[in-house]
This record gives sequence, C-alpha cells and structure tokens, in this order.
Amino acid sequence: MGAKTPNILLKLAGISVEFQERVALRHIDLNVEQQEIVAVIGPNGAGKTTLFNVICGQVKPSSGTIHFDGRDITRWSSHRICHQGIARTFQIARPFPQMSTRQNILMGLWFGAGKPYGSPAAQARAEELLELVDLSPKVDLPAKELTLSEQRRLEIARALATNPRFLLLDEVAAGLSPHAIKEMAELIKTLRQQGLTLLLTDHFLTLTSKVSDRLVALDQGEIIMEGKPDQVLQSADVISAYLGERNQERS
Amino acid sequence: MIRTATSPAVLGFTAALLFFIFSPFLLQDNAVYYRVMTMTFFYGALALAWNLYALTGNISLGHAAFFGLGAYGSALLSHYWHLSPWATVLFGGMVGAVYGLLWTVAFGCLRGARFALATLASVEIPRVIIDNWESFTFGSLGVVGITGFSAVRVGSVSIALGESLKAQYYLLLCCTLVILLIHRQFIKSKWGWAVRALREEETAASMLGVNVHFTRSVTLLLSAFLTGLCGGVYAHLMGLIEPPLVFSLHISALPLVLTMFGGRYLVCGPLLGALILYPLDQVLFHSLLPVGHSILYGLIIIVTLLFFPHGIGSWVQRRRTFS
Amino acid sequence: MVILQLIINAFSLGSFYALVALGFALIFGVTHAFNLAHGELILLGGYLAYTLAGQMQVPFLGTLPVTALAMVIIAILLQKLLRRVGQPYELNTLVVTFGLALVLQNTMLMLFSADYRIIQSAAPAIELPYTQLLLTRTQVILIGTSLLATTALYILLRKTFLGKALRATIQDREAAKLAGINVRRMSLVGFAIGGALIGLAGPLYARTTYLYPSGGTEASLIAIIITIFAGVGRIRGILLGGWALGIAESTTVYALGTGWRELVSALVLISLLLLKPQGILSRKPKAARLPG
Repeated sequence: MGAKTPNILLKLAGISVEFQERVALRHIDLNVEQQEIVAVIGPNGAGKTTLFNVICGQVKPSSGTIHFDGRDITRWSSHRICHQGIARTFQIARPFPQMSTRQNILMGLWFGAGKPYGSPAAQARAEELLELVDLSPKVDLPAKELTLSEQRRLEIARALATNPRFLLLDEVAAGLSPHAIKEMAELIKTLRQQGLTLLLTDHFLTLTSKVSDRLVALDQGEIIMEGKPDQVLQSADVISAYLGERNQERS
Repeated sequence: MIRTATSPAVLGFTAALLFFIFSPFLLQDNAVYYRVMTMTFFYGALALAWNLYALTGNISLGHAAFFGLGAYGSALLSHYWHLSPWATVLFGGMVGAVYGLLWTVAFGCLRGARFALATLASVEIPRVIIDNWESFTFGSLGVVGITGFSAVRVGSVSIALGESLKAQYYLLLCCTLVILLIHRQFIKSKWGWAVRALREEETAASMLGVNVHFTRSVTLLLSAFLTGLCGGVYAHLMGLIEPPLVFSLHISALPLVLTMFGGRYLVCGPLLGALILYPLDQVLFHSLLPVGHSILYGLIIIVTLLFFPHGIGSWVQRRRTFS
Repeated sequence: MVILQLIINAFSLGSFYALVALGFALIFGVTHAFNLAHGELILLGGYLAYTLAGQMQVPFLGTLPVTALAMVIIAILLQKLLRRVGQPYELNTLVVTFGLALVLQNTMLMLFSADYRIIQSAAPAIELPYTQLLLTRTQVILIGTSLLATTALYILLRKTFLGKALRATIQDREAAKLAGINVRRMSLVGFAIGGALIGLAGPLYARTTYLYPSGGTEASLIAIIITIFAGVGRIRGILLGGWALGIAESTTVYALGTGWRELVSALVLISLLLLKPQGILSRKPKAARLPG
C-alpha cells in the first residue's frame, strides 16, 4: 500500500518497536503532510526519540511500514534515508567534536548533498547556513568548544546542509533561553516557508505549541491524542500523562 | 580547502626521502645499516597498513592474523606450485583480505575494547590450525627454504633482489612509499573524510549520508590486504616462517606502538614512528639489553598514551589543524 | 573411571581458572579498567614464588602471603598509573596495559630467561578410597584456595559495609557517587583486593603449569572470558565460568589433542563478545538502551 494522497509526505502504518522484552512503540499510525509542522509531545520515555530513530533507520521496527514520498523506506539504512531527503537533529547534540564548525557543515554538504569539500558551491552554501543559524563568528572553532545551544544550532545547519525535504528536530527547545526559543520559532517558520516539512519533539511544550499545526501526544509508546495544539493540551489524558510523570519524578 | 601539507612538513619529507635514496652511495657496504633500515621500512609499511583501519576509531590488536596468513599463503603457494614470488605475495594479500572479510562479517557490530579483544583472540584461530595441520603447513616446524625474490632486469642491469642487501633496501623503500601514497590518498580523499566523520560521531555520520557499514568494511579489507602483502614480502625476504613468528603478539603490537608514537591522524605519522623507534630499538636497546629489548615498545605505548595521546608528529603539525 | 578422572582434572583446572579470573573481575567491575597485563602480573607472582621456593627454601604455602603482599603494592601503583588515562577509558586502559604487558614480558625475559619453569611437588598423589581416582596435592591446594578465595570475596561483598560500597560502585558509579561513596577510594580498594587475588593465583600458576615470559596473554584471555561469562560483579558466576571453561578445554584436549586447546579459549571469547556482551548469567536483561 503506497501513499495514496499526493500531499502526504511521511506515512507510518502500524509501527511497533520492541527492545528485549520492553515495548517502546505500539502500533503507531501517523501521517505528515507536505509543509506541515507536526510536534510529538509526551513525558520522558514516552517513545519520542524512538519514533525518530525508527523513521531515520537507526532502529528497525518489529512490525509496520514507513512510506516517504510514496516509497517504502521501512528497512533502509540511515544513509539511504538521508539521500531520500530526511534529516534530523539529536536529543543530545552530536557534532563531529574535532572538526571546525564549518567542516561539520561541509560534511553534510558533501555526503548528503554531493557538494565536494573544496568546491565554491559548498563554500557558498556553508556561509549561507552559518548565517542562518547565526554561527558565522565561530566558523573556525572546533565543534566541541561551542556552547550547547550553539551545538544545537550547528546541528540544524548541518542537517539542512544535506538538502532535506523533511526535517526532524529532537528536543528543539531544550537548553535554550526564552529569547533563543523565540528565534528558534522564527527559524522553524522560515524553514517551512522554504518548503520544508518538519516533525518536532519538545518535552516542555514551550515552543511546539506556538509553531506547530498539529500535536501528537505520545504516552508509553502509544498515541493517546492527536489534533490542534490547544485541543490536545486541554485533553485530560495528556494532562494526566504529564502529571503522572511529575509525581514519579518527585518520589 | 584541501591544501597540500604546509611547507616544513614537505621539506622534511623531501629531505628524508633524498637521504634514504642517496645514503647507500655514501655508506657503500654497511650491512648493519641496510638490515636495520630495510626492517624499518618494513615495519613502517606495516604500521601504515594497520593505521588505515585504526583511522575508523577501532583499534585492532589482531593484525598478526592477516600478516601470518599472508606469509603462509604466499610461502605455501611458492612451495607447492613454484610460482614467482611476485605472484605469491599478491596471493598472500588476498588471503589476508579473505580473513578480513570474515572479520567484517563477525565483528561488524563490535566497537572499542570489545573489538580489540575479539581481534586479539582471533589471531589464535589461524595459528592453531596451521600449527596442527602438519601434512599441509608443516606445523610447528614452519616453512623453510622459501625462494627469495628473483632478480629484476632493468635494461641491461640485473638487480639480485634475493641476495643483495642494497637491493632489498630499495625494494622495501619502494613498497613503503607505495603504501604511504595509498595512506595519503586515503586520508585526503572523500573516503578519508567519511572515515573521519564516522570515527568522531558514527550515528551523525550515517544520518548525513555516510554508508557507515560499507566504509568500515572496505577499509578493513584494504588494511587486511596490505598487511597480508607485507606478510608475503616478509616470508620471501626471510626464507623461513613458523607460526609463533608470524602470528606473534609482536607483529600485532608494533604497528600500534609506532603509529601511536608517530601520530595517528597524520599522513606520515606511522612511518615517522617506525623511523625513530625501530633504529632506536635495534641500535641502542639491542646492544644494552640483548634479551628483552622490546621493553622499549611497551614503555613507549604507556608514555605516549598518558602524556601525548596524539603522538609526537602532532607537535610539528599543531598549528594549522583548522584551516 | 577414565571419565571420572577426567572430570576431577577438569574440575581442578576450572577452579584454577576461576582463581585466575577473580582479580580481573573485581578490578574490572569496580573501575572498568581492562587490565590486559593481568596474566603477566600473575606470572610475575609465579616467578616470585618460584624464586622464594627454589632459592630460599620457603615452603609453598609460605610463598602465598609474600606474593599477595607484593601484588597488592603493584596493583596500587597500577591504579595510580591508570588514573591518568583519558576517555574512552575502557579502550585506553586496554591499550596502556597492553603496553605494560609488553614491559612485564620483557622484564621477566631479562630476569628469568625464556626457559620453562615450574615449582615441583614431591608429595605423592592421594588415591581416593574405594576408587582408583588420583588427586594430586597441587589439585587439593588449588581447589581449596579457589573455593576459599571465592567464598571470602563473596562474603566480603555481601556482608560487610565495605563490600556494600564496592557493590554499589560496581552496579552504578554515578548513583554510588550521589550516595556519598568515595568512588576513587573504592577503585583503590578494588585494585588492592584484586592485587591480593592476583598474588594468590601466581604461586598456584607456577605449580600447575609451566612459567614462561610470554605465557601471560593466555591467562589474561581466560580471565576476560570468565568475567564476561559471569557478568560484572557476580562472584559465584566466576566459579561456574571457570569450571565450564575447564570442562570445555579438558574435553577438547581429550577428543582432539593438546594442540587444539588454545583454540577453545579464543573461540569461546569471540562467541561471548558477539552473543552475550552483558554476560550469560547476568540477571537483568540488557537495560533497554534507547539509542540516539
């Protein structure tokens, strides 16, 4: 079964993931339309990152299918998925620590978008991306010396360097100041205007409720609610999932 | 962006190369010099071949397996079928690569200390089999009387590679230069950057479009092939091999020591380590401590890893890392 | 009867292996240091006992405290050395101790030459009543020491306050730190006790099998195998692992000949690394690590 409607970009059908005896995701169905911004919310351990890992080929689902742009990518490895136009950032930023900021981005341009390291095209695009995420003054610094928020921005630039159509941002707002969160919201909207489709996760809901068209609430590996942001945030199930977690944290 | 190495390094390299090409004309028939330098080049080549795979971030403690299999493959082919050493050495390399293929299948998902341990143990498998398969491999007696390299005719001059120490010196110098060139192209190419990316952050590399598994596997095959080749050259150079000699811990350890000392991430690092340490071992330590002179290598590993983990070569090239 | 004798021999060999592994397992459990020079340290203890017994006529059991003390000191020095090692800790300690193994091998080569040496035992073998099974005195000492050392370590870890702190460190370093346990001191204690166990294994090594400078690698591999088999921090599992390996090796030797013995440990180690990286006996299923 392919993606029938032409404007559905990503289609997850019946995705389940099991680690040893634990079920991390249970029968997830999810469609993301072209140029849509969807946010996955849920408490720690709800399966948000696992969902990202499955889409990106880092975790293989035990059942279910993933279609991207009408193509079945279920068991593909990460680099092929990247070449299809999916890029992501990680919950904890994973830059190449010994490479400079610019080199990090050039890696994305080279391996993801086929722009060779020394080429003028790569150079120009790298400058553009550095400008976009506001890292131009730090181009020659090794990535390990950047602050955490800078590393996050670098990771977004590096993901964009692979020329994706679909971008997954894991914990976009974590560790950002209120001001930086505003900037991030602007960036996300800009990216959508440029034609990107985005899937976000956000633990604290601060950013996602502002920018996203749709929220998907995840709890213990299952989708418990899906819809417009204010609708989902008022749902009793979602609130209790969050409160439940807070109680656990206190004990 | 890809610059040629900065001038001091190029100058140093050229000077060293000229020295090694012309020093035989000054030294005439100094047998010790030829012997020591031939083996220096040899271990330099071995270290360069080893480092190709170490650049992926996985340290192998078992390259003696490729070396020994290369030596035995080459020696037995020469013994039973009397082929030219040039052909059998190539075959030795292929035997090494086949074992490398087994590694990629079996150890593909191991990293770090687990990978190192698995490789250390995997040397025992070919060694024990060769040790016990006496009818074919002569077991612990080893293979003796392996034919040396045949003479090479260049125009009207015949170079006796089998006998002349000077000729062997040049042969190994050439071998090492070829492997050095491969090592250089490897590091500077797109492939080398892929290897660097997956060494620094594997998951991120795969998400940026680097085929991690393929890159790792092919790199290991290349490294195993070149190490097997070195094993073949060794067999024909020495004329005698036996299991404890070619499957020894020494063969696995030396490339690691030389490379760590010289500088893991530098084009010439492994060779630099060999050029400094092997003569030091042979000339100084061997005369001071006839038995147990290899203590030098153990000390060097400890000191290098504790005090300058990027090797001494990094002192030369510290400045322009981020150009 | 042959089979029974074989089992007795395998059992005593296995007890010996367990003793060889104890020190490694404790040090690895507490500090995550991969001590590849473990076998060389045991050999060093063996040579020390050999010298004491041969040149100073010290009775065999008298050598044990001396070597144990000597190895405690060496292990503490090793801990000071490994404290300076950077990340990734496991791999870097493995490489550093690989260097140390080379240093020790060559030192022993200089001091004791490459000749094979063993501490001879004059006492005749004991025949078990009503059977024709033989038990040598070495085997008795071996099984005795091994059981004793394992039990002592078990009681130490389970029943004493120090042991509880050690176990907490083994299970979760960060949590132990938060609970106010001085992890650095625990690592020192781990190395010291591990050193004592290495010191016990040394003289028994010299009595069980031939000493030669490059024989340590195999002992290290055996220790690593049993530690992985048992799973970190599981003392009884070590005894079980030692016996299992002893039986596997004895059976191989019986069926194929001595030449193939070394293949067993190599193959077992590789299969353990590939199949059961968390240890076969470890109770918890691999904690669901969420990658990414």
